[in-house]
Amino acid sequence: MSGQPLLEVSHVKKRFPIKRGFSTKSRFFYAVDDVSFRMEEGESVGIIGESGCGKTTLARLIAGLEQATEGEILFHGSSVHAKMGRDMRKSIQMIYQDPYASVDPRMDLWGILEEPLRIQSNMKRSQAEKIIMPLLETMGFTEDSLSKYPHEFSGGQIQRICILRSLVLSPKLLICDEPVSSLDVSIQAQILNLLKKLQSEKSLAYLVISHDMSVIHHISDRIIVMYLGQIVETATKHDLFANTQHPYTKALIAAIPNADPAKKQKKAILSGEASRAAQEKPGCLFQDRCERACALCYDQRPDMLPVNTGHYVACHDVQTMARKDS
Amino acid sequence: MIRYVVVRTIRALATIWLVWSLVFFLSRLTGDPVKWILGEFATKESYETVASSLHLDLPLWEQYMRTLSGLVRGDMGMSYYHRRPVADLFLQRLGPTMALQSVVIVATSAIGILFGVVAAVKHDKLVDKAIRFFTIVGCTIPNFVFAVLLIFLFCLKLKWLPSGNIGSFRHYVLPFISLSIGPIASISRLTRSAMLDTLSQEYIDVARMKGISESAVIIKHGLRNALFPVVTVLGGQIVTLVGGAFVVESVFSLPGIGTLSVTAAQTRDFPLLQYCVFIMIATFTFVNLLVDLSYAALDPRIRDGEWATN
Amino acid sequence: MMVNLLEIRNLHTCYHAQNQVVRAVDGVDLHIRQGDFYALVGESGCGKSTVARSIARIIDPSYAYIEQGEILFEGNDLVKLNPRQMRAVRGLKIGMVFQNPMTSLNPVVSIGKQLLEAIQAHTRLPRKQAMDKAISLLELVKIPDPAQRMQSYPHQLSGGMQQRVVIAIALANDPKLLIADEPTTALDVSVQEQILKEIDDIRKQRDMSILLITHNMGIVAQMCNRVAVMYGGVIVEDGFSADIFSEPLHPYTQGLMACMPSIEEEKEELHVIPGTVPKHFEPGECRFLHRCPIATPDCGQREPGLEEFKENHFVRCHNVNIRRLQEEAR
Repeated sequence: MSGQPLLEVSHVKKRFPIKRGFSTKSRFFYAVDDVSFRMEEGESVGIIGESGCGKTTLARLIAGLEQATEGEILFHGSSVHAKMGRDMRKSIQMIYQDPYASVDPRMDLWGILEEPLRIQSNMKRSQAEKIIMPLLETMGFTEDSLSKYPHEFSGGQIQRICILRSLVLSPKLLICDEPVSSLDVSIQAQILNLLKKLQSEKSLAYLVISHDMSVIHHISDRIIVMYLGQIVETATKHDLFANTQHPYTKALIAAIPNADPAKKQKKAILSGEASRAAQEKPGCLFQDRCERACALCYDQRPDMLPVNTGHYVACHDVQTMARKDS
Repeated sequence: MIRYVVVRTIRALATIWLVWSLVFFLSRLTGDPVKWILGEFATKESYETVASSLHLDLPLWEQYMRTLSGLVRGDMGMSYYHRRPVADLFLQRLGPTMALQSVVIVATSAIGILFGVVAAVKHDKLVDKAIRFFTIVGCTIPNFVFAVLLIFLFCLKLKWLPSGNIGSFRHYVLPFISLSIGPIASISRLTRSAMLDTLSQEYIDVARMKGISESAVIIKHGLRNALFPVVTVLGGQIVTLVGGAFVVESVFSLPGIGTLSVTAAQTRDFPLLQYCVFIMIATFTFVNLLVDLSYAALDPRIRDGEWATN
Repeated sequence: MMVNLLEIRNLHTCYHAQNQVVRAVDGVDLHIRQGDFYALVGESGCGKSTVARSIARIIDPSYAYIEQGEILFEGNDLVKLNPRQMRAVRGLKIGMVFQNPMTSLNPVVSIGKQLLEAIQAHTRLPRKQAMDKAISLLELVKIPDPAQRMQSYPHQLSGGMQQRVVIAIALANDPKLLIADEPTTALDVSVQEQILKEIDDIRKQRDMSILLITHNMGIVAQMCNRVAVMYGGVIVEDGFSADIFSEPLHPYTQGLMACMPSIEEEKEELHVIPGTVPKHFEPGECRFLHRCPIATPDCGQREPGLEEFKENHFVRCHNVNIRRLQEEAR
């Protein structure tokens, strides 16, 4: 095993044109705005953020479904891009939010599971069976479900099928884009347990995208918080919750309603909404909604600087405090 | 916005010119008009006289440039056959066609939309099933077949209505029916499915929850949004009507521009044919332009040109 | 004793699907008092949305119908009202907010016009006064620049803003009951928090009742004073939120609470309710039988009724009630 990280994302940017009326001038907004991070093998990294923060776009860039405008994504040292080869595609797999929309309704279960193998290496049926059948059992399906069609399964079962399908090629990295958001709470639990179990069995690395902090908290070793295309804080799960630094992360955590009526804490309500217009002004993207914004915040974008081992924050206020303490 | 209109207008003009030119060249492949006029046994001299008087002895490109410059100047030329300005001929025959078409367009739109709305609101009930049956019949059977059937029933058997020519209001009844059945069928089908789609949207329930009348919900909120695809098709319907009138006009012997165009093609009366086509394309493009602009008028999302929120 | 604002008695709502009759709501009783913030909780398919839509009588008549039951609102049975009478209730007495704000507003009509329509449906205000009222409603739901926003179209607003407009429309004529069907599920958590707090403030100001349909127990714990848990078309537990959270009685309620991931705890594995919701329920047995960890043979013999276990805490379970009887015997 080389000393290389599994995944290395360096200063990746992805922009999309904004079409305003009928003008020809192209203006852009950055869905992903200078994002850098690394992942090791077998690690579980969660990306949390609200709508418009760029997490899905980032996931798609890493999966090779989109091409980055700037920056580099390296998987085991090789470049990930929209036109990469089959070998790479095998190693990075993805599951999506809507299970029903992720499967071809006209293919039966066998067809769905066998397709990746067929595309990658044109396997014979007997060989494919050797790979698929054991996985089938792990997921709780029986052999006679192989001839069933998607509409005969429940949402939770389809999501398990999608996970199964992604594992058929023995990937090293599984990207999960809102894997449980469209499922009922009791089914969510089943899927989350399954994902955790698989990770330890197959030493898979996970990149889990979600807007649900509880899900991210449950499944991640390390967490990245995104806001309007940028990373604002990243830390291990423990540190992020025990020692939250960025005002946005604090507000996000405080906004989660606590399922204990006895604990009715006074919330730090985040005012306003995230708007792309913030990208057009100088300074920190969070300035309009931040309680602790200072003059520097309106002027300069904060850099990601460490406050602790493995704990990075992009916030002038935090950095100023840290300097005062040292 | 200005740019939108200008670009579309330029495209429209370009389309008109292209099709017009296409007809110019294609029609000259169909045969020799001089032979038509003079017959098979014309002498060489009379052939040359006629040919030069019609400028058909010039090289093809020169003919083209002459005709094109005439078009630009507004001089549409003289009919080979009738020896009169084509514009006059056209105008003369416009009456019956316009009378028929305008009523058909208005009536089919109104009736088609009405049927569609009723079928959607009462979907899966008897009314809906009856309307759907009607639309299948209406969409599959060509209008001239209806024409012939109607003549058979109402003219021959029942002797209620006249079968041809013009003269009174009664002469237009059967042509009107033959031309209307198809468009009513397709407009009502489209309206029905657009309405069903719209009525399943959440804002319909929000409107109901205001406590307003059900008809306000269906018309102001439902139909208003369901009309978009229908408007597109209406534009196409207008064009089809103008084109499909040819055969029906022939069946009923109506002296309209349909029959005029057909005769012009048959007799290789190029200027007349060219003019008829020109008017048709111009109408077609103009109608499409109106449809495009109406979208902008009806849908604020298109006016803003940007569908994403902030 | 206070007269209940809303009293649902033995409601059965069915719909036709593929030649079968689906009993979406199969015997529901519910009482909402003035000022209650009542949560109706359950997973998809349990019938909670159908209950909400049955109250407002906006179930699609082409395939759904109220088979039996009474819905008494301020003493009047809504089920027996004719369409004209029901229209006098909708908007004026009962308002409703739906799940997806992006599709809750007519896309081609301005915000102002849609608000005015709601106002004018039940009042005869002159235009200027109606406009002023509309603007003040937008202020109430904390929309910035309300006067400008009157001319805006829905697509020019974000999801959170759109939902605020929908709430303003629902509150236009000061209804006594606001039904909110998953109002914040489609919104970001920070916006969710803002909007829920604002709805709660309005509720307190106007002494309005809210029936909140949701699957998010956190929101229920923080905002609601009463909870009813639904499963398979019936209510399995009903009581004050403090009681239900401190001592959930029904195995389904317990399972539901245990299976949610929480940032407060570090769980290696989440508790799971085994199996899935069955498509049909056999008469004469408990609906939760096949997934219940404490099922006994009796559970397959007769369906338990919703009984009062403690004061104002109802539960539909043989085994819980057996415990009560045992405790009473001591």
